[in-house]
Amino acid sequence: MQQLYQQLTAFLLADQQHFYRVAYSYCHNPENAMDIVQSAACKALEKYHTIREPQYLKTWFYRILINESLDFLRRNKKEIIAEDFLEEDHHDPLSSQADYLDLYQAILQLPPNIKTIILLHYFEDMTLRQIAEVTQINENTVKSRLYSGLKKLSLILKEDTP
Amino acid sequence: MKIDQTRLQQARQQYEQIPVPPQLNAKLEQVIAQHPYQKPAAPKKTFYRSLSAIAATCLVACLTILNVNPSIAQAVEHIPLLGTITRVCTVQTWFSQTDNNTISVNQPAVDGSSALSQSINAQIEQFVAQHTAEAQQRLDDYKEAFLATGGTMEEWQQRNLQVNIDYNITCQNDRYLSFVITSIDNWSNAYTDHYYYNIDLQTNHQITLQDILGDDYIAIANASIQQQMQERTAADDTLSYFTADQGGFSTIDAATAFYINQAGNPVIVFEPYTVAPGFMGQQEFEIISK
Repeated sequence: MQQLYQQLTAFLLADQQHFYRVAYSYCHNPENAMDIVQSAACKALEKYHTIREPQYLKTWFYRILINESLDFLRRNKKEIIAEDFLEEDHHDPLSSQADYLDLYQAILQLPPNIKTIILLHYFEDMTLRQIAEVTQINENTVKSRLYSGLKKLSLILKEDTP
Repeated sequence: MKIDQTRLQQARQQYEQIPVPPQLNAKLEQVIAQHPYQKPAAPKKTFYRSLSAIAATCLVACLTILNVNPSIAQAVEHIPLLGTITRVCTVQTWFSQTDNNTISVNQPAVDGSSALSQSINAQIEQFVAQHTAEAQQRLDDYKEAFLATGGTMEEWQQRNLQVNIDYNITCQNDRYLSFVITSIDNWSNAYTDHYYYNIDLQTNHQITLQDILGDDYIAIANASIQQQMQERTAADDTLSYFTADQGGFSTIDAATAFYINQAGNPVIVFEPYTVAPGFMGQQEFEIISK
């Protein structure tokens, strides 16, 4: 168990920048992102003894992190919508052919359940299997959400385009 | 299907450029410092399981030796501590697990071939069999109701309901052997049942309160209980006992449950809700015999 504790603390410190960016992608605010990472770390340190297989440490922690992020969104629903409304000049980032620079913004605007999958797969290099573990949903569902996300972002090229 | 990797790479670069505040590291170190490594308490379930397993193994080993080798059994009989232990022991330990719900049983028996021990063992066997069957029935009923009211099978399996039938020796000396068999459901206080056995080892009879306290046992016990109730409510004003009019305590009788404690005194037991509000739990009154 002590080994697992050391593994966890080492992992928390080593990958903190990753955690921060994941959290930031949900809350879009440095203070809040740090709070989310901090409270996820707190929960992990309180509950790590429930992990049965150390190999699941990473997906287990990402699950806590994502849940913390989603919790934050739920608690602050009103504020976020208001902010977004002010910042966006009514231009739909999901409209087809969003330009290169807008793609990241467009990903951030996706519904959370799709955003999580794109984020973890393309930015955090997780396999669909790992994402299924993080989100606790079936691997096939992960796959179909991933494609529906890519479609929304118009990232799927027609076969004949070079 | 082809995916536009170029644009994804660009988005990823943008993502990786999100600046991470330098304070984050200090914050995390602080969180870690607040949660130093602590040897975790063993999860309850595993603990009981391994404990029962160890106990069962020891007892099997012990019983085998005692049964196989009469001279050791006789020798053990004369070692003060070990000798008495052979008088009540686990004859059966088993688990039954369905849908992640467990019925665990530690069934005791008293040794000896006297009519008394045979009759006690038959009673214990009946108590255990009856409670196991009832527990299984409760689990089945609960499952049916749970599923019928919108619960899923998966959620049901996560309930981890347990029924434990176990025993506890409350007194074991040259004079008395007293033990209690309990049947407890972990999801409801309503299904807790106790069965007390008190045996006088010198006469080889089940002892009554009358045997210990004398012919005046009812008056002696009643007075002592009334006095202890008053002391307890005086010491803590959140406690209260039902009055006799409310269906609370009025008098004990020959059938009142009791066990004998280490000191050799009888302890009268009232199940939760019988003499006091449920939150006060089971009420016990030690009657000091003169």
